[in-house]
Amino acid sequence: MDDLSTDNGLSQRAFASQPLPMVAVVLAQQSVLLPLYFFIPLWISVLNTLCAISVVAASRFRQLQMKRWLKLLITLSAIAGVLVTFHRFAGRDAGVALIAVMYGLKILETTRIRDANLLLSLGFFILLAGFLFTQKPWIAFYQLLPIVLILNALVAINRIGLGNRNSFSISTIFKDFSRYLILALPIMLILFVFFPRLGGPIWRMPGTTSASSGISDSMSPGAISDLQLFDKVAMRVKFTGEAPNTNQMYWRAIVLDEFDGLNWTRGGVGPIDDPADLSQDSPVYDYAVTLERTQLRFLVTLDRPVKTPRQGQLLQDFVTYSSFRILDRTRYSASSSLTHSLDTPLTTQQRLTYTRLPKSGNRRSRSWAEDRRQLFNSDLDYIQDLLLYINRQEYFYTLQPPIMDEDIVDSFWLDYQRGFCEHYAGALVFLARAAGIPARVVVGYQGAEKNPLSDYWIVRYADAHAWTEIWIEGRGWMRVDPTSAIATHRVEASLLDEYRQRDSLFDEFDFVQLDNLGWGKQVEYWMDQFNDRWNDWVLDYNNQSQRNLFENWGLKGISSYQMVVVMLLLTAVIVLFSSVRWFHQRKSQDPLAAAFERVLKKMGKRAIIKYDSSLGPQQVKQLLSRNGLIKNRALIAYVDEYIRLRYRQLDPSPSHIRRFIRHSRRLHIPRPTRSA
Amino acid sequence: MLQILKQKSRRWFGARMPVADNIHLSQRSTYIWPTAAGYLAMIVTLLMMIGATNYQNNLAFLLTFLLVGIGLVSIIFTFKNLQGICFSLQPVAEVFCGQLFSVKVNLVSETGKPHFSIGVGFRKADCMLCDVEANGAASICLPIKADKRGYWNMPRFIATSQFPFGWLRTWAWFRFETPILVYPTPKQPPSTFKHADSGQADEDGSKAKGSDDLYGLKPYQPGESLSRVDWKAFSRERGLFVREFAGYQSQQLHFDWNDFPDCGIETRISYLTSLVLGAASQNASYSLGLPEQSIGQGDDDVHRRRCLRALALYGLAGHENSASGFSNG
Repeated sequence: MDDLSTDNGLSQRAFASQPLPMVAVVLAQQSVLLPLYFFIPLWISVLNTLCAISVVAASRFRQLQMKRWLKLLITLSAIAGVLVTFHRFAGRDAGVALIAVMYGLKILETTRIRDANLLLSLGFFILLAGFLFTQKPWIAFYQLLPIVLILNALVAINRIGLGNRNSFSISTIFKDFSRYLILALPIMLILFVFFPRLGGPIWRMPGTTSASSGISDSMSPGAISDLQLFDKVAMRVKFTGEAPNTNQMYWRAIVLDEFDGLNWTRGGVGPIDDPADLSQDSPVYDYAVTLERTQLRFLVTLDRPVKTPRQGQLLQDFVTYSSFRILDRTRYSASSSLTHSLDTPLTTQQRLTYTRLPKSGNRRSRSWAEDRRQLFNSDLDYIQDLLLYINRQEYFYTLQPPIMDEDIVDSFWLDYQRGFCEHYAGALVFLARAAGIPARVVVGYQGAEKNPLSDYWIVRYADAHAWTEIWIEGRGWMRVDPTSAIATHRVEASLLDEYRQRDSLFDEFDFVQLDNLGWGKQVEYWMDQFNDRWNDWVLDYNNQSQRNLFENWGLKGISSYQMVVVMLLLTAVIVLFSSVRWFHQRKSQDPLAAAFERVLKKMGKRAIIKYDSSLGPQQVKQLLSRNGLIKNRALIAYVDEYIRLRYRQLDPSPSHIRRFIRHSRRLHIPRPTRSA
Repeated sequence: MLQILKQKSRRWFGARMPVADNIHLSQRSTYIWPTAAGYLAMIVTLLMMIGATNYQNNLAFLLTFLLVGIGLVSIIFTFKNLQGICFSLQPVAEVFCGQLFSVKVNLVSETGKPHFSIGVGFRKADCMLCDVEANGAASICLPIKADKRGYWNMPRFIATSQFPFGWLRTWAWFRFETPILVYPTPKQPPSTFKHADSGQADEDGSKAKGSDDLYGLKPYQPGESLSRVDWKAFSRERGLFVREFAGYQSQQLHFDWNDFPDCGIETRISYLTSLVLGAASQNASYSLGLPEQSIGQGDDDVHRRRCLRALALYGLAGHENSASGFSNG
């Protein structure tokens, strides 16, 4: 016994005064901070890293330990630095920067177990801060690393002997901690599904910074000299039934009806009820939209909506006004009919609004339009002529138009003749209004791209589009897309694909086939599908989807209280189950012993011996021979074989073991007889 | 009322406390409770939950719930770290009442897995820690003082562990079943008695101490008179040695209960113990006379132990039964 003993123990006081495993602690701390380093000012990241390095160095060489006053100085100047950078401490960005600074510098003050515990526990909280900036899948998977490293540091703190505490390799850590994670993950899922969600936030943090978006609530084509096409996803659409043709997919976001000579903006329009008249003989498309954050209060629908989303209110110009700003990804379902139009007569007021032009400016276009209108009998002919004019004359489609800062319609329509959809739409509405025809600009998206790996459509910021609506007596508001009238050879070659998709002249859009996809594109679709699922199942799981889920399980009207009870019960079941599994897993049993044990149990059942888990093979042999029955001879031989394999042979070969196990399975165990 | 509750709880806990010579802790006798670090982690989790709820941030929820899961799972793992260890007592050397001695507890892993940072002690706050290898053993030495002679049950031990995360502390109390034999406190009899000073009275008395006839040095054993310790050797850091005197050679000593009239029972026992130890340390032959029991002459170790045991158990009820089959040392 003595030679096996390691030592005579370490007292608790000696344990408490052991040097901390600084490498493990610093690794955990830095892995927590790492995602934040992408979002906070660089100097904080550099400062934090330097502090961490100095602490690790000081744990190796005592003379490198930092003086107290120096620590204080660093801390104070770092806080001052945050104040100088952000001019405040409130708000998400400044707050997170401050937290990062404090957490980064805390390592300087980590000398005792208590400090380390605080640092590591707070680490979990800091991990949440990363989610305020991004909720991409990568960060969620990354966060597993800091969790494991924090746990590793906790283990290192709670182990005795520094030798075990600073040595580590990531792979062994992951192997060790996978045990914890495997048991913790089901609990996490249960809590995630069942934990009751609130309908809205408890409070809102001020100072949330804005992000770019594909469409805005005004349009100033003249001011743009270089339109960037963003590949970012604007929305995803899932059609319940059939989907319309891509060139028919005009996604209506907002209508701009006021022009001040430079900008198109939106005037006030009152709400209307959903159009009840669906007698028209055109198909109605039902679809569900997942709209990414726009920061606007408009829901995007397929032109034109006949059934408004629950979250929105249809306005007179068929714009769906949301009851709240789209600050988060929003999901809604709607129905649209592509050809649906309402022949409601315009009120005088409306006619005035939709024909109003600024009193001055763009004189040449104005007179051009008035003269041109004289040549035609009807408004419709005039508009059609305008489209033909665009097609025949030297009108170019480009994303790098010249800047037009004065009389933009004049300079576009008559001078430069090059621009993108906003120029064309703005000019067409201007020319229509100049001829006294009610017209308005519609902004939204055109087209979509189907994810061939799934059943939904992706609309990107690059699909943002502007077109027009012209009011024709007897036909109502008609959609006119002047951009599609541009002759193809005058579209910049790089944009041809983009353009072609919008062009109603090219009905047969050659849709992508899966097998033609390059692997790059395929990966992209795969990623987008993953993102979509991620959004669906992880990010957007809220109060509503929780209820829907339970409804699908036939648990309609389950109360929060009941959910909590179910959650606790399931969690308890998992914990109990895993603990039972762990506790009944004694010594990892030798296959020979396991087979022997099974035979013994069977003998016990057949009343040959009285089974007891502590029975050794020699005892079994004794018991068997005590009965003195001849039929036990085979059993005794079996026990002998077991003893030989298990105790006499140093290392039984696998084939021997297999043979023994087979033997055990086939061993004939006599049934109890009355006479015996 | 409180007293009754206390008693009841003690009985309840007591009934769960394992008492054996090889302790295998079971879930029944093992307790678990969060540590300060555990409470801190819980508070952090709660804050995370509030933050996640406020921001309606599902990733934050997932992270929080993962942490909750790990916390719950750590109950199992903390528990498991303490289970599957066999605690046994290494036989104790001679123990004298009132003297500090160290008990050695052996820990053997029975799970085939290592157990880390296991603490063993008499009080929760004051344990000695060790790791137990997967297929090995470890031992822990604990200082303790016996407070009465005779068969003595050691106080209850506590085994405790905070591994892996230090969020939870699990512990179990246990007792070793077999008592240990505690010899009486040796006390040098004052010189006023006949046997004063190491008992050489059976001699003619002219010989004073025999201290002149230094025979040799032998390692100090607990219970021996400190006056014979070779302090010079000790101060030279050679260890504790006791001077042996030739004067005791080939003498026949007899220590008797009645040598110390007017003394209390415990005092007499202490004096006699001291005399026995003194004589044994010098390989003298001696006999011991107690009321109702007398031990004849002898000079070997067995004799010495018999005498000490007789003194240790003197006057204690029922000692004959419990003494049977017990061997010490």
